[in-house]
Amino acid sequence: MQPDDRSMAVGARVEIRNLTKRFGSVVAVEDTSLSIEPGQFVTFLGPSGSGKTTTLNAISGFTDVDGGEILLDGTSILSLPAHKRNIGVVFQHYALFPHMTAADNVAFPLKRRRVPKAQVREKVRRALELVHLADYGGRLPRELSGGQQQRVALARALVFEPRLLLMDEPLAALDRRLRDAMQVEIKRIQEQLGITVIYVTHDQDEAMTMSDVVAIFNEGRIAQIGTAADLYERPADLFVARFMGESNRLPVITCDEGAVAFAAGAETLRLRARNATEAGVRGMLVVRPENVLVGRERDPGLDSSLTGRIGRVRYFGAYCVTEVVLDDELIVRSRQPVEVALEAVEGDRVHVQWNSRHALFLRSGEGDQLSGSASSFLDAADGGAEAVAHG
Amino acid sequence: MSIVQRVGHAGAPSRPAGPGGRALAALFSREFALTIPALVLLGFAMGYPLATIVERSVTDFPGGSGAFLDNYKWFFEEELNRVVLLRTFRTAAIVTLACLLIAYPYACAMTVVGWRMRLVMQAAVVAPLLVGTMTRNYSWVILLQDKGPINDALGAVGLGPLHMIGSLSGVIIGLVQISLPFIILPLYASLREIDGRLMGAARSLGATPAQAFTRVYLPLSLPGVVAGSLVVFVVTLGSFITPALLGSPQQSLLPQLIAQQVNQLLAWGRGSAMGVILLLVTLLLIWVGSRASRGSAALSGGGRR
Amino acid sequence: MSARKGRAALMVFCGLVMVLLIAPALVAVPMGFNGRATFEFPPQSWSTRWYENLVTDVTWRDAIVNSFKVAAIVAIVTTVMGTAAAYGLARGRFPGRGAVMALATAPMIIPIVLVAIALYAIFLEQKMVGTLEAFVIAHSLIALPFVIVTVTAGLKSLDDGLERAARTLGASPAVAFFTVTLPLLKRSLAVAAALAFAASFDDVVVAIFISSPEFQTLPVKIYSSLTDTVDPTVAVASTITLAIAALGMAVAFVVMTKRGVEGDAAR
Ligand SMILES: Nc1ncnc2c1ncn2[C@@H]1O[C@H](COP(=O)(O)OP(=O)(O)OP(=O)(O)O)[C@@H](O)[C@H]1O
Ligand SMILES: [Mg+2]
Repeated sequence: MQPDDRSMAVGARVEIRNLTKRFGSVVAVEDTSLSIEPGQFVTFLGPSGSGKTTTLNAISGFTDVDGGEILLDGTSILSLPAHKRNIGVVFQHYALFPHMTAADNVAFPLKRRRVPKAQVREKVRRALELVHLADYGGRLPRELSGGQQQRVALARALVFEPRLLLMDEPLAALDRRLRDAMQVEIKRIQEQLGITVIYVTHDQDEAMTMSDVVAIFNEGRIAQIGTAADLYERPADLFVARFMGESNRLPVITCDEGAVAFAAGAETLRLRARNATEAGVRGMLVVRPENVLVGRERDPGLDSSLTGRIGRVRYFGAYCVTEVVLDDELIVRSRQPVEVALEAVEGDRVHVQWNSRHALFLRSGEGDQLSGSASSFLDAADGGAEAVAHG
Repeated sequence: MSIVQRVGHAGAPSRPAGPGGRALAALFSREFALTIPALVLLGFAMGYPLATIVERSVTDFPGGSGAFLDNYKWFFEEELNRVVLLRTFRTAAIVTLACLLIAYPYACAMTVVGWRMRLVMQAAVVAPLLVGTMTRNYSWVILLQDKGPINDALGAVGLGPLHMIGSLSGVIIGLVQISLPFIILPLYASLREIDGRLMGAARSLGATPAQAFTRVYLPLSLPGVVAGSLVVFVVTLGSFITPALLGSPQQSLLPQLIAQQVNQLLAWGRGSAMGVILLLVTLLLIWVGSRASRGSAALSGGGRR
Repeated sequence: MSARKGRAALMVFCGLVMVLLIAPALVAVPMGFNGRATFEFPPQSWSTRWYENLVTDVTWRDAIVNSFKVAAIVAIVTTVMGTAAAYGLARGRFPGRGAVMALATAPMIIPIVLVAIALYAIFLEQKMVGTLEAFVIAHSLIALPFVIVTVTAGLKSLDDGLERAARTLGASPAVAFFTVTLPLLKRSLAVAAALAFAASFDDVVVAIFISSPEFQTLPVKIYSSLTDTVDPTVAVASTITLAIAALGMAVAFVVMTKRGVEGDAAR
């Protein structure tokens, strides 16, 4: 378990092809494909019930699948029972064996593999050292804190040197401070061992700070997969944009390449947007709050601008969030450092502005419900778009 | 444990399977296989014998021949049988009521005393269960006899000797004492669940202690009352040893009559018919009782939330 | 009536109930030392000859041996069988699970007289009356529900994630069961076995029907000697069951108080 003797043991390559799993009429995972490079740290992120655990269970062998293939280093593992897959799993509630000491827990997988006694002792010692619990081998699980228990569980899942480690919300039962410390710990161990990790979490920050790659799950499918920066800056669709971080979304319709029409009260404005191609497509213009600046004057450096009245201003210490109410009650939020943020009084008329580099057009999917006001905006913009196009 | 090992190794390969195939696989799953030895025992020692009894009740007649339901007709036509059936029910009802009256305050007290006292009270309930049926029945034979210690004590305070053994009253006394643990335990389990603060809340809303008890505590305790009473009633209906030792042949109960038909008269058909009737009555009671306790559980569940 | 007086009255009442629950069982103890063969209580003279009688009289001795033999076999058979069934029922998802569960606990609610005559009918037919096998089968039926209920409760309190964890660590389902589930079920299994033993040892009704003069169990012997004679050997036998019960409770008490120490010993 030392860096040197593990340097050759690299993580596994994982390939999921067209995985499908149904529970009665519920489709938990639908035709999902995913390819993970050796040694990557991949996080599954998504709303509750989106199929993350089901996918993980299919990999670890706890659910039969209805279709598709799962390959580990090019070999299918679907016909192997769970205990022959040689995949480490860490559970949310630790699942330490209460009748065994920490050391016996860690020794369990080695005994199943009939490792000679002397080696078992040595490997257990090293595994416990790896998680900084060298002196706690004699304790029973109930004599350990939550964080210590989870570290024993981690040592137990790693001691038999699996090339793939699955973790399903491993830190959800811990408090905030401990969680932060454990994130660092897990990341360190993963980098030290070079093991491939699939990690499920509900916590966006956790996903962003730990992962090489994040897969966003939505209703049994992977909505987008990429680095945290990809997902944040170039969301593939509105679901991802909404799920990753905060965003301002304005209902618009494309008028030509690189431009959309937005109905601002009576008039229709033409705004520049990345990703807008053919004309006449309905969707949303997405701008992150930190890219929005509020000012009394127009800023010449920012090419897109709307006007509105100052709404609520909320102070968060390092930054503050200013809400600007556009005509017809649409709200745009700006998040800026306190010293940059405009000192404004509710009701003041201001400009909200951004650089069109940061404005992204995303078409609305069939599933995306538009609110009544949003569709009336679009209808207004529809007419406007023609006016702009022809005018 | 050999079964566990053998089928255990079969494993559960996760491969795609059609829905029909999966249902079939589930029926012959490892888990189902584990229940097979128990099912075989139940089949041979319960299913088959009971089926035999049911069959005999409609095919075996004292005269050698008879019509389908003759044994059942005989049971309800014979005066003695009706008297015994009624007596059996009455006895079971009296025993249940007496048990309830003794058990309720006792179980209430168990919920309010300190843990040390509670342990003692609990031990007092469990101990008789460990002592053994025959020992307890033997003791009552000694205690209730005409010149026994109870009559001695009664004589000392000037009450005439009572004839208890060989009478229904002796049977009732014995059954009450023997059945008490069966009602105290479920009753205590349900009373323990009642949130004590509810009584205080009722008082603070202006209820008198009596009102708080009858309007709040009593309804919440009903599931336990029903469950405990049901156990005692059903056990008493089928009791055989205590009536045989403490009662008299002149005042016998249904189980004794069944045994008599089978053992002494060799009238298997009639005995079987009586057994079937006893079983049906018991099942009916359990069904009614479980519906009643579900109803009151729903009621008290609403109160608890 | 003040609340305090009410409470005092309640405690007096409870004291009386405790006496009612426990005292009758103790009657057997002095009766066993009765000098004469009577039901007289308390005895007028004392002797230990009934204790001698219990060991020297072959019918008593055989009855005791038979009772222990049957109860021990039943305890083992039903604990294994019942644990397997409870495990299958708790973990399985097969159709008809509810029906199997209801069936497995049915012997508890069928009137015991009916169970007795039904088994008697079968054993007469198979010429098994008065055999060890008949007793084992009959008592296994009576004891099985106790085992299933106890083990099911034990399994419910057990986190089934533990078995999954064991599977991911390389244990086959069988190995996971024996290395993780079974050790954690130890206490439930001990209770289940004890209940099965007691259910068999205590049965009178079924035993009366299926025994023969050549093969009796202790409760049958007590029953017949109670109905035929006034032999105080009955009291001795009762005293012995009483002593066994007391011993059982004492052992249970020691085990329970030792539980804290056990954790340290496991290190
Ligand atoms: N054993 C099961 N039986 C029936 N339906 C199930 C089962 N397991 C999962 N499902 C369903 O499959 C879907 C996906 O569930 P899954 O547990 O994979 O979601 P998840 O993304 O892990 O959610 P969470 O974040 O809440 O853990 C859900 O609709 C769920 O209700
Ligand atoms: Mg999940």
